[in-house]
Amino acid sequence: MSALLRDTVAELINRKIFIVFLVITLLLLLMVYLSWGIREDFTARSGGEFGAEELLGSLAPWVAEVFSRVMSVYIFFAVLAAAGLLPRMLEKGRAEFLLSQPVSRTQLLLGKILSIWLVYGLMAVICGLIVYGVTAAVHGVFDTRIILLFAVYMLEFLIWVSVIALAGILFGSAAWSMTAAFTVWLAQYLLSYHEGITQLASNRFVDYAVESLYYVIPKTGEMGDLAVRLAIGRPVHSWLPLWSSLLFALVLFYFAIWSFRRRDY
Amino acid sequence: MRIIETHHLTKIYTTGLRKGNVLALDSVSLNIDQGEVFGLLGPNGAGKTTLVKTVLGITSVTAGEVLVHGLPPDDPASRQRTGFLPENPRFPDHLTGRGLIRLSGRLSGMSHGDIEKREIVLLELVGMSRWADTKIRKYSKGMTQRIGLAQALISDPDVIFLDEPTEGIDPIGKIEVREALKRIRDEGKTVFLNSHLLGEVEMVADRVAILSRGKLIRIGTVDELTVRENQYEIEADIGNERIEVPENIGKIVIIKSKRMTVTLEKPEHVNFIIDQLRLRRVRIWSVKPVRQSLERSFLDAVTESPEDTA
Repeated sequence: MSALLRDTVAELINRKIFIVFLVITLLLLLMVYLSWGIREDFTARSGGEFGAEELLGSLAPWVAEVFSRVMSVYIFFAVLAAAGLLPRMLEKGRAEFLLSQPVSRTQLLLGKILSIWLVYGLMAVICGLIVYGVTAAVHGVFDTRIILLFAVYMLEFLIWVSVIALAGILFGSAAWSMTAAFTVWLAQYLLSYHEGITQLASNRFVDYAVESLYYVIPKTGEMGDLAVRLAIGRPVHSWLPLWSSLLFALVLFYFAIWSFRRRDY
Repeated sequence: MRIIETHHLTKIYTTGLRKGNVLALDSVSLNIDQGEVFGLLGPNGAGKTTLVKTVLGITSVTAGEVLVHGLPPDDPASRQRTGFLPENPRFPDHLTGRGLIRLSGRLSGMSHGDIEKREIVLLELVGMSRWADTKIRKYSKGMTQRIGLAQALISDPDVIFLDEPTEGIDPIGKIEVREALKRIRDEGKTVFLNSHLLGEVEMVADRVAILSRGKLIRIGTVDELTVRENQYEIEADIGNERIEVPENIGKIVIIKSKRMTVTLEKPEHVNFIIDQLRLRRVRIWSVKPVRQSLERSFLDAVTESPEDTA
């Protein structure tokens, strides 16, 4: 596991993916700098009635919402960057090198998947934390519960990793991995309107199909809402988006391992 | 000690529905012992790489059995004491040569200290110490093969599989790889050399197998494979003596004043020829089986093997 983790870090550094994350982080920090005046403006407009406590109460939900979007951007780039890693690992000439090592295929695949998740996911989270740290320092809105938001996004990235892992094993192509991730994203986006779709369709078969798909397909959009609620301390009405999405990821990981173990290279 | 055993090993690749199946290995049975340099020969598409891959568990077995150190290839422990240099390797190009050796060592479960000690020896062995910290993507083909050889040896394996180790490299690179191979052999390691370069195999292998269309058609030492069946060269002072050989015994192929080549029905008929020469008081200097090049033996074996369809 540590060998694959080191290799994934070396690959990340070599491919200079971190530069993309650095550029996004710098752009976000620039936006934070430009928003410097908001706090004074907010206090002035309230006629001096708002103190630090009130300001935190008013800005925190907004900041959590913004950081939910920020993390979505980082996760999007992490998925793009990670989509080609498994297909590259399984290229002819390279797969043989790895598969001839005294490591089981399950260990090899799980080691690589966990490495991708940890290395790319943590890079996204660290970048998010840097931007949040600066924002919190500038606006005085630091809240430790934001960690929960980052934790939910790490889990969301795990779901995307399961999609690109299975597609990577099945098709051996970065383009197909990205296409699979985009398809799942589109499906979950459309299915987030499942209630509206079933009302419009007024057909029992469509109702059943849409509702079934809703439960099966990961609900990353709703996980984002859940993350914001956790970050601002609002009650969570349903954990379904989280556990059903994680279940989806587990099933995909299972099929990825099953397929990898059966394949000839 | 037996290192590799295959019993009726068969591999069928299942392709698209309309293309049908491809029989890559057809009931291949062979044994390789400790310390042996075993050469596997065959034309392109004979199934050489498939055989190596099934032994290493990279490709599954359709039927039959493979044992490496007495273990089946799907057991990772069977690869604990093996090293492998694949054909046309594409090692992770973000790594340096040293990085690749270390990755291979870590995947083999070696400690950092052991890897560091061994990598110095191996880089020296393959002549890559100078370029150890250069990225693999900057390596020439020969350098890639040599660093591949080093990574295959990092865990000090008992057996090393080399799939076309000199493929596509220049003559100097070939000599370097061959020299490294000899050093590995001198260390008492078992080498499974997969190649279609006959000269290369002839130079280093103790035993050779010829694979054609997935079938093992010949196996033996280089001497055994290159000997012409029942053909002998007799060196003697024949002069103008007239030697006659009955049809049921054989026939004289060439006769010169000092040398005669005969093809016999049975090997023991060589005594009849010797008796004939002695009867005529001809001085015999030597009697030896006729040999041909490994290339000729290979071509004979491959062209004689029957066509098969899967």
